[in-house]
Amino acid sequence: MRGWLTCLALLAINLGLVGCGDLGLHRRRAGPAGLALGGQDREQPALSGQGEWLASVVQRNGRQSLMMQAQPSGTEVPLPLLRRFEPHDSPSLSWNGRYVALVGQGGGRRRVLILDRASGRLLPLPLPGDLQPDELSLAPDGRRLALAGITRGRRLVQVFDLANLIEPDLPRGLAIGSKTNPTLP
Amino acid sequence: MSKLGSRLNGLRLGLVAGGMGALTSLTGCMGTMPQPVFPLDRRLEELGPSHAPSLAGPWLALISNRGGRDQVVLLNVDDQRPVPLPGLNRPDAQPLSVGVEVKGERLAVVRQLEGRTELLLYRRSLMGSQLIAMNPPGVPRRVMLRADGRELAVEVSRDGHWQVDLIELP
Repeated sequence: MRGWLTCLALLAINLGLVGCGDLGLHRRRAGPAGLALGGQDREQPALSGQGEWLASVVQRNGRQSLMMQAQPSGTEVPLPLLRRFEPHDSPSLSWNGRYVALVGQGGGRRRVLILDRASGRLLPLPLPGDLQPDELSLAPDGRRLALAGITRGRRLVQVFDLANLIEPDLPRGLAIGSKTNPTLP
Repeated sequence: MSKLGSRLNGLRLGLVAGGMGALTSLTGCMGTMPQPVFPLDRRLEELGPSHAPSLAGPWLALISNRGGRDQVVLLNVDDQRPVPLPGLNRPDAQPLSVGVEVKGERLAVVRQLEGRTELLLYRRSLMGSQLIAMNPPGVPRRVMLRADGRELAVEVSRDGHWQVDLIELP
């Protein structure tokens, strides 16, 4: 009898029938702070590795602009260095929110920018070939960057090594010099 | 004379240092060319047209078009091998967005299936998915899974606007 029950449970899992309910998940709306967002759009959310920061894209003076907020307070942190590269797209944050990577506009073309909030340094990444970026994902430790875009007429994802360009941003409690790809407790 | 000589030497050193500093800041302005991860890029080219990348730890999740059909692919960046995702890619579903956590155990996916758009959480160890309803009702478009796997950030269309929902995961 127990064997049959186990078989049924495994079958249900494989059919994707498990957990169609809500299971009492805790939800909240990312609240506005420091900006009147009533009735406005907020898109492209990105959380830092342990959820202390939320980046999203909002309309500001008619342009897509990054909004960076501490969580859960919702307090907005201004990032004036990024303003001149609006419109912004596809923000991505490192573990502690030290690095903010995004696609911005500069010199008449779309480009990839990495802001180091610790040093206040903005790193525009030159891209090889004719790659036109539109989406990105920064590895939480900041050692790699995945870019999606059009290159040689094809829509591809490419991964770049940033280890020689920026310091790692590791989760709290992990010693500097630890191996890449930390797993959390 | 020797004092004058040492002053001139100091001046020269200062000029050289200043020039190097200017060069350094110019390089900083222009940025440094990032290096592609080889041979991963070859593997990604073989995958065909792809988009919606999500990087966490050694994992790269993306949506790739194979044989005219979009599907979720999970790669281990270190050995460039795709990881099987049994039960996730259905022939009648179209994935729109994917996120992966640093452990690579859970993936969050927004997909279109039978005329509706839904958010689901896939567990590799269970080879199964859990649907996550939008509450209040809304239509998800993009999902981002926090690197530690404990929260989802979802872009949702609701009441004619795009909003962001944060959903904690057990």
